[in-house]
Amino acid sequence: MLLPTLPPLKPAAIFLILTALLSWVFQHLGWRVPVFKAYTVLDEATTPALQFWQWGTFLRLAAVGIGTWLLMRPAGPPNPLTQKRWKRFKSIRRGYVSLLILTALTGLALLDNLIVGKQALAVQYQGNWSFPFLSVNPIPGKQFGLGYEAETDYRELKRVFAATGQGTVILPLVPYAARLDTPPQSRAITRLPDGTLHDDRKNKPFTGTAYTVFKDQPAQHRRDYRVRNGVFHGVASGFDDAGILVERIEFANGQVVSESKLGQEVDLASLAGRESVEFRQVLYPPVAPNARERHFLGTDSSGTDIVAVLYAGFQLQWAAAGFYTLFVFTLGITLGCAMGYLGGTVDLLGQRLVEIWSALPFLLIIVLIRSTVTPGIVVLVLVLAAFSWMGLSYNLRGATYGERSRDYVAAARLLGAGDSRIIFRHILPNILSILVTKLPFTVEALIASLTALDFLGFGLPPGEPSWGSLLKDGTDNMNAPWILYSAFAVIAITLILITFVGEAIREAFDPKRFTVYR
Amino acid sequence: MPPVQPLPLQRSTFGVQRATFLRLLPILLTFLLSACSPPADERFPPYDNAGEAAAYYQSLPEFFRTLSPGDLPSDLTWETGMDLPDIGSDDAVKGGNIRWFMTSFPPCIRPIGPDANSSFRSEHYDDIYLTQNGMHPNFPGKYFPGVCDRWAIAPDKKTVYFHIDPAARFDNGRPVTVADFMMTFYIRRSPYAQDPYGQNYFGTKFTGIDKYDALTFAIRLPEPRPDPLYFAQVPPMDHIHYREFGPDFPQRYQWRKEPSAGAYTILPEDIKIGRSITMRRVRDWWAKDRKFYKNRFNVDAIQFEVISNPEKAFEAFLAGRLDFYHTYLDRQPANWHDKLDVEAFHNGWIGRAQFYNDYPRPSSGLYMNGTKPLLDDIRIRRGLQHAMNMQRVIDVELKGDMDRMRSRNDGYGPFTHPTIQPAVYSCQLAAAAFAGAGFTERGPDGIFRNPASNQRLSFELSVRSRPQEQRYALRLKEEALKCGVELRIEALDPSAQFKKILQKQHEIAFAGWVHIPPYPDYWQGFHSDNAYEKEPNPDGSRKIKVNTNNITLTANPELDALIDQHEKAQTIGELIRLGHLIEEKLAEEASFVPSWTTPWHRTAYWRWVRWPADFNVRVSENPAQAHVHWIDEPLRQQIREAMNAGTALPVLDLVFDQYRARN
Repeated sequence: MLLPTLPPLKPAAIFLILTALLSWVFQHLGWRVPVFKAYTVLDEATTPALQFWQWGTFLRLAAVGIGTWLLMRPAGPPNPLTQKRWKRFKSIRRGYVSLLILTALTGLALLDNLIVGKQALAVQYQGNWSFPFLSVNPIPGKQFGLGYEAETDYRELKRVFAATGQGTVILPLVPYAARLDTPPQSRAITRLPDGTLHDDRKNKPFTGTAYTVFKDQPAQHRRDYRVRNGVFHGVASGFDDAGILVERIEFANGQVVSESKLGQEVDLASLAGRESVEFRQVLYPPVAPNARERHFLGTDSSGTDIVAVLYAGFQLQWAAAGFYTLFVFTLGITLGCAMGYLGGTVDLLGQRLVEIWSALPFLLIIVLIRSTVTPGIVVLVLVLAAFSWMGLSYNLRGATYGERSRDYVAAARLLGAGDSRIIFRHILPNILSILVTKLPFTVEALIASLTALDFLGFGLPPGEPSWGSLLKDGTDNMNAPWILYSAFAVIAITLILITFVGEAIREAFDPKRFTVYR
Repeated sequence: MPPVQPLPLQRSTFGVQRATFLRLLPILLTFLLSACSPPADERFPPYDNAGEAAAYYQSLPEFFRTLSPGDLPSDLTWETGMDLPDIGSDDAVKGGNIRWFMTSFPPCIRPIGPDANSSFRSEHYDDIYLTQNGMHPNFPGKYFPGVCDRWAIAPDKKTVYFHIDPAARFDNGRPVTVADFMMTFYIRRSPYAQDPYGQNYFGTKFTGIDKYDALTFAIRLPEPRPDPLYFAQVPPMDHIHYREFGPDFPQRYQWRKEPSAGAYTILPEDIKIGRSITMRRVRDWWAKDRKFYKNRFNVDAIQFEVISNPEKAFEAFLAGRLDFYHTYLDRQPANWHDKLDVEAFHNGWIGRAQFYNDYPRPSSGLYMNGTKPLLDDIRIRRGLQHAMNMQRVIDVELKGDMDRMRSRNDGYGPFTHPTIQPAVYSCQLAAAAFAGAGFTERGPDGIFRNPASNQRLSFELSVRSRPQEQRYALRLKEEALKCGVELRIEALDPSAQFKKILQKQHEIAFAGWVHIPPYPDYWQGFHSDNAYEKEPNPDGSRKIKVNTNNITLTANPELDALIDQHEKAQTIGELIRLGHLIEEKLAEEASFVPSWTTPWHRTAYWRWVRWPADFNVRVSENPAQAHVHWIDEPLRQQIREAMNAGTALPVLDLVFDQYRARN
């Protein structure tokens, strides 16, 4: 028995096959359904240069293949050793709980724009329901009665529908996207009964620039006032409904000093009648956490919602981790086992190759690549993986070297087994514990490297959601502590969870536990 | 030198292997010798170039002419410039010290030669030295006396005559004479200076210097200029100080302050290598009571301390260790708005002032390459102008502090076109322009398509890989998407991006040119001479000319004719008229999206730093450049006491917009 037969494996196999098939169906229907679209996520993240390869098709085939294999395997009695290890793992509560949390987070990450995204989940307009979050192409605003061709701003649509009652909009929990979504932010200023403006946050009279809007055009500034200690002070500018400067009023301590009309045919009286009662203040990013605007962790210094960045960053890291592990393990197993099993010249040359490769200055190469092209996540992960397989190959070489001289290998050889059969059917299962133990730390290494590279500015291009860039933004804007706190907390917690899992696996696979007589 | 190896323990008189000792002996001796003797004398043997210079002058008799006072033309109208208003405030008092900072220690205090062009050069040289005249900073184009007390322009506008003020002295006490002006040409044209720019400038922009007597001379220019006085300015270089100017000039003069006729000097003991440099006011400066100078250069000493991080320097300023701060307040509005939100400012101990200046603005914005597909269509370019939301970048990233740039040559006073406005961001106008070019419908991805050719409106935008600039680009991309235009952002290392632009490989590039007074130059950027080679390609197509500043590949015959006229214009009025016509033509070409200008400089200062009532001079790049401020020492005491007592003073938050260009 090669792999542990464990209860969750059969449902997992069915899940893999089903999602792969359904994702193919959904893609052809033109729906981007969360969970199922995970298969095509690499296609979307890949730069045009790498699109020769149908990642989505490959992943689906792989999922169906693995699933089928898991289902078709001859059923036998469960491997007692594996069962023991699993039991032992479960008994280490810290690791087990961490694994459960990480699994839950992964499930959450798969839900994608069901919980975090700027497209509405559902819009009811003129009696029809539509589900924008499924749509591949943006739906123009005019489809919902907004007068523009660009993609609908669903947050604005919700406000419009709330005011006019023309329809219903259901937004995701966090209605912001991590890319190219930096809406203007503003905040209402309290007006005290004596007419002065009050800054609730600092709890003292307001000082700064306040504005009013047109009652019928909430996006258009009517007047910009300069306010000092709660009263108008300095030059106020008035605009008409096309945004053209039409009046200039000078205040001193709340009193009008001078007024002037700019332009001949301006009807200031009618404009004044359309001025809103409420005073607002433009909030420059970074904006502090604000549950009313659903910026639960605030925004970063470019105005992007931090939850959205963290969430998309997690998705990206998780996808990258899978890809990276696959690449590192394939290279490490192939080369390590070949060196250890074949020995001789192959070993000698292989070892020299590994030494030379290890001596290459990795960071310098990344800097060089970054200065000539702007790498996407796939290129970045490929480069990272190309410099990370050496350690694993050393371990596997040593282990294979040991296993090769064991009696069971000699017996297999006597029975006429070929080299590849001996490696894959006999040796590899016996050194599997090394791979399983290494897995969490490989994932951890990737997350740490990606974050570090982004922090240094050599990682993903700007605008891509990344924990490292967020951390950098936080250290650059210490007066907006929520950025640094969120980024740091998420990075630290994720790495700690993975470390706990890794620790528990190592403990569970520790052979001493089973060989020492008591 | 061979690598020094660990000494093996051997039996020997010295406890060191003899051979090793002998091998190390020369090295040891070198150390000992260099420790005993002053290095300057050793490295630089005495040198006198008087003969060399004289021979040089004689070898170019057409350039360096010696005439007699009788040869002066008699019909000259001599000017003195004394009718211009004074500069600075009569309230200014002399005295006090200013503590200021520099981000790195300068590699030398030579004003010319290798590494001379550090940022400290403007502090100790460019803002201090005097040439024959000064251009009045409040009346651009008008001149007041520098080291010359009178001057005259020949009617052909190619020669300018000067008379040196007999009182003019270098800061080492030696009088300024014509020999010092001749020395300037000798040094600046010499290969020893290792200054290719200066060698070219002084080699080609002048046809000669005529000496009439020790104090009277003329500068000749190769072609008539509308404003010859501007181009005839030459800083005198003390010919005695530069006696040792020779092949080892860069090393020999590394730390010797060039004597200038200006107000400040640097004494050798004030150079603390790696830590600080102090400039001191010249004792009994010759011009201290003269008009235009008596209210400037008021501070006794200016100390420049090395603080490598501007953010840290800002903290030092808030802590009272620096007297004022203006570095990066323009580029980082957050410092101005958020970081000055401190007790010391609200209590009036720190003041701040924003001063609208009048200085050529760098023409930064989006340059479209007119040879690339789609961008060769003027309707597409016009549409793109409407699809770029520069105002939003200004409003959010720059907190609304900057002004939208209007044309390519803002800040040139009368030369700037008075009425041209940039295209407003409007998806309707953009869509109308695109429809004219056949891009009538939006594809399923929301990007405009041409149903006939199936092309999409997708362009590559090259920006520099500075975080700030990439964020501007992202915001433009987000807003352009709403107008149905896709921008593919390419962030390159600044030098790689510049190379790409000069090779004319870009589609749309975010770039900018720094402009210098006195008036705009159009030939470099917009004449077809700089767009295409004279020789066409073998297949008959026009061959693109690379490494020129015409990065929009503008080639318009009408424009060429206007630019040629502008190049030859003889009067200021003609320059203005033609310049405005050219600007209008350029606006029609629609190949440039102006970004924003910083039409002011601003500073935060402790209240004891005092400024004139109008704060500063019109043509100034930073508040300290004109040296019109002074230190009020009694006030410093009072404010220190107020700070100790916690007494609040009226808030000082000033805006001076008397020179603001009105739209």
